[in-house]
Amino acid sequence: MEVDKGKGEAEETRKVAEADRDTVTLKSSDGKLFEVSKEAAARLSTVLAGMIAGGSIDDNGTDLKQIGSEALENVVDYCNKHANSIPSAALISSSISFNTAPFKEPEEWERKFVDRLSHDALFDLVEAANFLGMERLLDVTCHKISEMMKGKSPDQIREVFNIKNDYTKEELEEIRQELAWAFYDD
Amino acid sequence: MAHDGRVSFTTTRSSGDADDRDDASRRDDRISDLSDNILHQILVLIPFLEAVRTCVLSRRWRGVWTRLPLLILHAGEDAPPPRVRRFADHMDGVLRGYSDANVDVDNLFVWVDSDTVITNPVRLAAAAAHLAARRVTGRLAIFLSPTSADMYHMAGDGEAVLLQLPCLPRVTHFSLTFIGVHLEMPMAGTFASLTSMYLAGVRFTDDGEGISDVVSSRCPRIKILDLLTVRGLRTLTVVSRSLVSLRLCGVMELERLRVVAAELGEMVVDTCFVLNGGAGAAMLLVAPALEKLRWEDRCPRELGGPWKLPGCLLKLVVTEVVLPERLDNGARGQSNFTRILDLFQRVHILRLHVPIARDHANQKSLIENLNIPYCPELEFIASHTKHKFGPTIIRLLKRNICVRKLSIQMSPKEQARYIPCASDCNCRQVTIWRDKGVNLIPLEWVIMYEFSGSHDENSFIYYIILRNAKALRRVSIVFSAGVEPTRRFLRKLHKLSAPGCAVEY
Repeated sequence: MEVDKGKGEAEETRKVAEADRDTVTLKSSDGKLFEVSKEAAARLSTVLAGMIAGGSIDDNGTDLKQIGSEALENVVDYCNKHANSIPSAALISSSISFNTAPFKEPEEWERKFVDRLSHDALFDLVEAANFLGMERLLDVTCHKISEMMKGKSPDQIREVFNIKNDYTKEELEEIRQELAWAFYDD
Repeated sequence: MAHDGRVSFTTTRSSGDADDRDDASRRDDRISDLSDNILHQILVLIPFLEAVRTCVLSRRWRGVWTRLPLLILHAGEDAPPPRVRRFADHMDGVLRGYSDANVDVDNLFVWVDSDTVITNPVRLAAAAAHLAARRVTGRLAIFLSPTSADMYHMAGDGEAVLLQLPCLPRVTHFSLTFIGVHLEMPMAGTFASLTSMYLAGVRFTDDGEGISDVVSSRCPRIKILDLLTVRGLRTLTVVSRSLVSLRLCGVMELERLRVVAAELGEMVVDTCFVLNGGAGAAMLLVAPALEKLRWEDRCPRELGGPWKLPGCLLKLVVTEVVLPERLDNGARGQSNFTRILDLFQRVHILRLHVPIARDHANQKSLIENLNIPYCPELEFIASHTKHKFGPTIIRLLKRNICVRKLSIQMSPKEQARYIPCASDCNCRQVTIWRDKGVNLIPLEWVIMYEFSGSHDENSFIYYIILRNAKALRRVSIVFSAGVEPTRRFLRKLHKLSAPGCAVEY
């Protein structure tokens, strides 16, 4: 639904104001078009900012061949939500007080935003954020993944992420001995 | 929406959440396909030990942890679980892991809380410093809490106490808290990136030559220097074009301090000259950009020249340092701390923390010997208020007729004990109390903090301020906790205040 609507809007906008647009059109790998405000795109993505500044934005839809439509929809959705949210100050993580370059905790809406994603969609979004140089979105998605890992044993982590253990028993034993300081039973 | 109908992935704050395993069998391994950079970004958000343990997940993960950009090695009850056992082994393991990988580390933090005892803290600190010398490009912080490592107590066990600091060419912020370790500064090499250095608890055996040399000649970018409870530092020379802030606290053996710093804006000297203040202590200050000075110390006897200080200081805080009885040898009674006021002609805000002496003669000589700079704002902190503060502040105001804003901070009273006043006590100087000759014409705003409505506070407001300060526009009274103003007091306040003067409380 939203995809089509976005496409419709995109065509409309192109007709109305060919020059001097305040949005950019992005094209996913499967050819779907999405509109996003130029201001938000430039602010949240270093790659898009570079393209806008360098004039390499295509009014008929800038090709982003690496990003599928679902991920791009989430990127655009994030940009729009980010533009509407009131940035709250002082959300700096206080858990590590001596870390003076702190990771900024995700805000409530950002948490909700990544929480509703499916497993695959989350990883698609990480890759899209990385590709587009969207630092904040990458922080938020990485934070979500870190929460999925936190407090889990290697076995549990393998299960959550479906990681195949390709070590031999001997190799594993060797590592555990080498890193005995990190492996002990609590 | 496109994702409707799929099983949503909920947050997993507790381990073993059933939701984690929803349709695991049908999923691809997406996380292992992520680039190392992204994996690092994820792993720095989980406890370090858990990040290390990811090496057994699969071959892909084996060395990922050895290239994390942020290393937080934290032992103690405040550290996130899982709990680190045998911290020294832990450090060794980490350093071994990193010795193979030729990568930079942004920040290295070694943190040992007070409930953890480590066996060879010097070796541990040295290992961290040597890793940092090669790899760290940002912050290096080593904090060994006093109870986990105190070389004054551990030295007896034949323990090595010498920490030879390597040069840290790429570190931008260095902080070391390590009680009693004998710190030797490197003889060569430039701390080319260092902008701040914080040393606490360490001791020097070269009287301070090494640290003076490093800061003055080999830290071209240093902006902040903090030295706290450092022992064995007799002579400190800081010649720096970049230094902005200098803080010396509890450097109790200091005898000679020379600071030549064109950009220095803020300086704190707290309890450094107390032992040697009366003897041969000397100080030279060339700081034309100085804005704020907090002086909580005795004044060195010798104030050598040529001095260079700004014409007007933004803020000057002068406090008498109160020593425990056993340390207060010789210089008892009159301390010379107020001589520091002689150095400044004009100050925008002057904060004085002056003791209220018990006998009148002492108080009189203390105040009359004060050379108070021209200051439009005076903040006065009344300490030891077993006696009345009024006469003291009146004397101060008589000496400085240009104060426009006056704030007085009362200290909580010790009401339980009655201390009888001597015949020459300040409290009995009624003549001063009612002195009409006090010129308070420029005074515009009076603020009193911790007001408890005692007799002398009330009298001060009624007789001194409201009667004499004709241009007063504002009186602010902040009552101390639990004190309610009486109606009588408020009525009188309004009655006495001039028209156009706002009273707030």
